[in-house]
Amino acid sequence: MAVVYYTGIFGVGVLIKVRDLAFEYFTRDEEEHLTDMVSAIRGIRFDAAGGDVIAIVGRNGSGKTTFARILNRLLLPIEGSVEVDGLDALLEENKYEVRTHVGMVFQNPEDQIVGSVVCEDVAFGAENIGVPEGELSDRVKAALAAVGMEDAYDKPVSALSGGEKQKVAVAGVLAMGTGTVILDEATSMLDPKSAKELVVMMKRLAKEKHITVIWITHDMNLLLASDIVYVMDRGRMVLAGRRDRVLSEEAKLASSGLTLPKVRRLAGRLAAFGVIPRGNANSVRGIVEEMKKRYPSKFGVKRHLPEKTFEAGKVSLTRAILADHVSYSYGKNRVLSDVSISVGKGEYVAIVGATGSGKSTLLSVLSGIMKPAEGTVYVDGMDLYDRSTTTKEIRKKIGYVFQYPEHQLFAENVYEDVIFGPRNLGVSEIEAEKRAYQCIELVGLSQDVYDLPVSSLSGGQKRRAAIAGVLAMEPEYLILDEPLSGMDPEGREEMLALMDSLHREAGITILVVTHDVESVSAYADRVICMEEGKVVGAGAPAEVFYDMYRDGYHEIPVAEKLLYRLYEEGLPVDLAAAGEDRIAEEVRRACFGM
Amino acid sequence: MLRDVTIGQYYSAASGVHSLDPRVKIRYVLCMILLLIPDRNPVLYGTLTAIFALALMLSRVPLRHLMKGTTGVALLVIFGSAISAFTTYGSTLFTVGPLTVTEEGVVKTAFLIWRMFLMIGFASLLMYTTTPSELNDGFEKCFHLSGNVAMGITIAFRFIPVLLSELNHIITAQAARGLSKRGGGIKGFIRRMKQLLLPLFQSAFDRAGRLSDAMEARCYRGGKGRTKLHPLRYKGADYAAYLVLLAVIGVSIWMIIRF
Repeated sequence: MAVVYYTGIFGVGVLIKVRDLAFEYFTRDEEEHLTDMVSAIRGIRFDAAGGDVIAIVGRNGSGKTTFARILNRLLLPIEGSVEVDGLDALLEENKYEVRTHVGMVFQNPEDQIVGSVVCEDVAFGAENIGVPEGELSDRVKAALAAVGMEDAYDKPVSALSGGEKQKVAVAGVLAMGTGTVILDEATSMLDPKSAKELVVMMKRLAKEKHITVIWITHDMNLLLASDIVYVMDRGRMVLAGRRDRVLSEEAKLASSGLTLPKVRRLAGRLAAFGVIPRGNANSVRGIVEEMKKRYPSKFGVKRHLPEKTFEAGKVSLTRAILADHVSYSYGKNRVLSDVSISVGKGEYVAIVGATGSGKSTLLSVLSGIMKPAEGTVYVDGMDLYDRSTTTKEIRKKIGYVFQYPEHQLFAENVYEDVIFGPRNLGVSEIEAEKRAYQCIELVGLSQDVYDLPVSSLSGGQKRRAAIAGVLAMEPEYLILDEPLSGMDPEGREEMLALMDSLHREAGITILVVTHDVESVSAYADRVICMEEGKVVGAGAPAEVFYDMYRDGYHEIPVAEKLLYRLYEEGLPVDLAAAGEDRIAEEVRRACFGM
Repeated sequence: MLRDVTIGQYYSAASGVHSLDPRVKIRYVLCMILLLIPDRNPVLYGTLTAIFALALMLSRVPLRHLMKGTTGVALLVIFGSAISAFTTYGSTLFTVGPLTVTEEGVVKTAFLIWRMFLMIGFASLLMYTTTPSELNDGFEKCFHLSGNVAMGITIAFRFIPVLLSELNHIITAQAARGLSKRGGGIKGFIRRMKQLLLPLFQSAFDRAGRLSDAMEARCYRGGKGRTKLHPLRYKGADYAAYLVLLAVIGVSIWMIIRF
């Protein structure tokens, strides 16, 4: 049965006008005396109109989330004016009306869903504002259709993936008749594929339904899906304008702790070689089109990528970690089936793959925490799941840093948390103390955090403290699950540098699960690609990316993606080129000869 | 593992029982529990068991799912009830060391377990076939609760699986840092509980803060002026169910008097 949705159900993006906005955070002691005042944002000017796709970017602590909360009237500024659809948003009596115009989707899909069943959750906001009962189910259905989830109407929320939950959250905002949707780091907990889906969907909503989309983010790739960009730093708007104009201000972005989107950086390199003009290439496809326009004679006939044209240097291995035909199931759900991998001593290995491919489960099995149903794991010849192997022996060998490790800190202060591991290993108190001090320093935390309560640290510091706690057990092998998730560009760079120095200087073998294929290609010796509980590729990064691309999985580094696409379009490039430097050089050679 | 706990979780299925008004289901469960109070009446218990089996069949909730969710509780009930087998006076069946098992004790225990199983069964069936928000509306109407209390209950149920999986994470993460699960006597136990509960409570409080923001952003301001996607309205099937309930109560009372 075809259902006709009348478009009148949806709101459209309204005019938002913000002038001279300021907000301060106060901290008070127990007797309500003011102890600290932080100027969170100051002098903000901002405009939005229906159908705009806007990105507000800035590093952690730049004030962007504070600003978003003011727009949604969750916070009240101390100065300035906010006008939403002509309403003075700062007046108490306009609070709820403002919220029906400007809706908000939050970072964690888990913490914003109220209903246990999809339709109940989508209806929640509309129920709150008293939408007549006869109209409610139409609204819910229309909102779910708009986000492409009409089939999930009576599904339990617990059965949805993270990406689907975020779509439900968007539907919940739309069902209120809201025309402006603020998404506060809404993609940061999603895998690349789900994140991309959400971005494409929001762009479509902006175009078709005239909805205003405001991304609050530090993911620079999101900028490419926006029309207008505001850059915040230390509570101020430091840059604002059309996307391409903002992106051309590389130095200013860098001083705000932001990096260019990878594809822009690659395009910049090619422009420096004179391959393409400086400017506006925002996708691999854009670069390819530009090149085809400029060098039509260089492109031959379209062709397919060959089976395998190059032999990547094989790493000779002393197999230090060896998973031998490992299988694991949660109930009926088989998450690992017959997985065999090996990691050599001193290697830096990355595991990539979509969410649900079994990566995290594999890490738990490799680190001796979850006994596989079949098969076993050897570390330096020791069978982790043999009865004679003690936990202590395993923990001395393998350190395991979980995803969001900062959530698992539990001691009163940093020092106590870090020393927890070595004490459990039964080393002497003096030795444990020594290790704690060393490791806190090793992860780049300063002396004065030792006795600070864990809760007073920033997110990045907490993560470092958690890693120090694992390192203090002096493992030879370090296993990390998504160590970059939720970090801003600076934080990511620092974390990658930390892992690199642990690998190079401390000689620790690194095994890391990550979605960040770009960092993989820069640091890892080897990549293991997983899909539906199986290993589908293992080898040098370029080799694995090549196979992934040929299998139709395009979430690979942009430089490699460009190379393969140019080859397919008939440009005579050498597929053996790997890494951004060599690929840019190779593309230049293909266009200009020597 | 903890992730297998399904207590209080809605089981999505299209069935007559699912679509009944929550008030009807709540009153059914209450009546069944009341009817189970009279002791040692095999005819009555048999009848109620048959009613339970029928309801389970109509609800399309697989028996296995129900069992999985209630195994823990069931074991507790069995062990708890077994004590009465040793502590009831009567004709001796056999002795184990200082303990004497009597015939009366065994019969009493059997009925105790039977009764508890039916009570848990009916209550679980209510949970499995009714979404928390329906349950919320039902309780609100049946017991005249305020909207806020009912909303609190809804959210508590929504977060049971989330917090359980969180707890699971914390346990594994601490195991990975060499935390031993035993030793240290009572003091060690208390220390371990503290290490476990501290991050769990921290995370629960953080979540609560974020959730309340999310609710506020969607204009939640208590029950005032709220409309409902599924307003409670009795349908024909609900009246029919009430009639059946009356009949069951009548027959049961007759059985209680007669047997």
